[in-house]
Amino acid sequence: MQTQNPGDDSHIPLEDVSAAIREGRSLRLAHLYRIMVADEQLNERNLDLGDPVPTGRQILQAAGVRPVADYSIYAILPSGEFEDLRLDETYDLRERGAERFVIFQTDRAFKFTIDDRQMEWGKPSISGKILKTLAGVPTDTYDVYLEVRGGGQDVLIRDADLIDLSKPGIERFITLIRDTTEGLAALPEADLRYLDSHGFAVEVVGDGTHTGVVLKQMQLPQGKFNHPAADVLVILPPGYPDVAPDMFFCDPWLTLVSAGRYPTCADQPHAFMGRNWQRWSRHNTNWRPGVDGLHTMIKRIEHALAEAK
Amino acid sequence: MLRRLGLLDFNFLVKRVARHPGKTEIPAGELWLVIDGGVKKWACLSCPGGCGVQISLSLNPERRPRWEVDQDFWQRPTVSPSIHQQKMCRCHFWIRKGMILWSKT
Repeated sequence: MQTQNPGDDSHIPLEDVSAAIREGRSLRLAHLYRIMVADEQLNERNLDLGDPVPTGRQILQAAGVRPVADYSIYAILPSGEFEDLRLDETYDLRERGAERFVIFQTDRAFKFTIDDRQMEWGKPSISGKILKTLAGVPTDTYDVYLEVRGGGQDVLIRDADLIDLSKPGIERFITLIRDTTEGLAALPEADLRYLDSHGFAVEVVGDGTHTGVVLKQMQLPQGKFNHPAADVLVILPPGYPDVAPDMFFCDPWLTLVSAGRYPTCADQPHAFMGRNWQRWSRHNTNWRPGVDGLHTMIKRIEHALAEAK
Repeated sequence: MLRRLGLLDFNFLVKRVARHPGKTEIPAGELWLVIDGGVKKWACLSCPGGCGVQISLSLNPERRPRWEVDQDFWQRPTVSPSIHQQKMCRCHFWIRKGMILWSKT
């Protein structure tokens, strides 16, 4: 199987298989191919092979385990699944997209529970993806956690993460559907207190990207506009409240009673959550992170409405 | 008792547990606070929006999404921020002082 000619200049000295996978390219011709091999404790180390199409036996021999027949080797696929390599089966590093392998002695069983069902696994390491598969839940909509007892957060196990089942305390896994988010209105507590205590009726809306706070039927300066009250929208930027909201928006559109037209810099439409808002282009350059919040923004809006010309 | 007397109003009361309930069904009206070794880990409840699925809110401050749960003298929980179910019944609500406040989105 060894076909390269060491004197051939078209070969690079060493090809890192994981780098090639990361970069999404095929392997270059090389004198040595570097893979990652983990032992039963999931200690990983590099192994350099001369053959890009090794057998399981070749990898085990290169890893220095004896007798080879007492060991098993699995390729860990990017998805987290294990692929069993037989001793005399060749494994083409150039095609498979796997650069990690795990080696362990066979004939052991590890017990744990998933969702309170007893499980047994013949290998000391297991991936998040396999745990979900064993639990019978879809891998793309569920998360699996390792329960940590006695003071510590439960650990999220991603699909390709490997857990060492031989360690003490690795006993219970739970799967949870990933369908709940913080409300789009992750409004800071200070804002909520302010809105509560000042009697603002507020609706928090979101289109998945932007979160908006609608101040319902905000009272406008008396006699100034063609409506006595309007809904006022503030769009919270990512990073709020450390980042300032910029403009604000009114619905219905407001015109100045005295002039019969829109106020200056308030004549552009902005569509948000199915409504056509009047954009009030008023910018804020003096936002103080950690200090300012919706209370500052509301004061600015009240000021802008009172001063509108 | 207080509720029967009409003195205390709530939709949820906190019940402390040491371990995540897994697939155990949580009775309506209870919010199970998973605290182990002094660490608040999860708040679990049955979705009040009609679908009834179990909701597990992560209280781990290092991860997103995350929530905080406080409780008052009467064990009424306040959860922040709000809770938005993206699948199933798609409800969106706050729990403040044990009461559900529905959000319109």
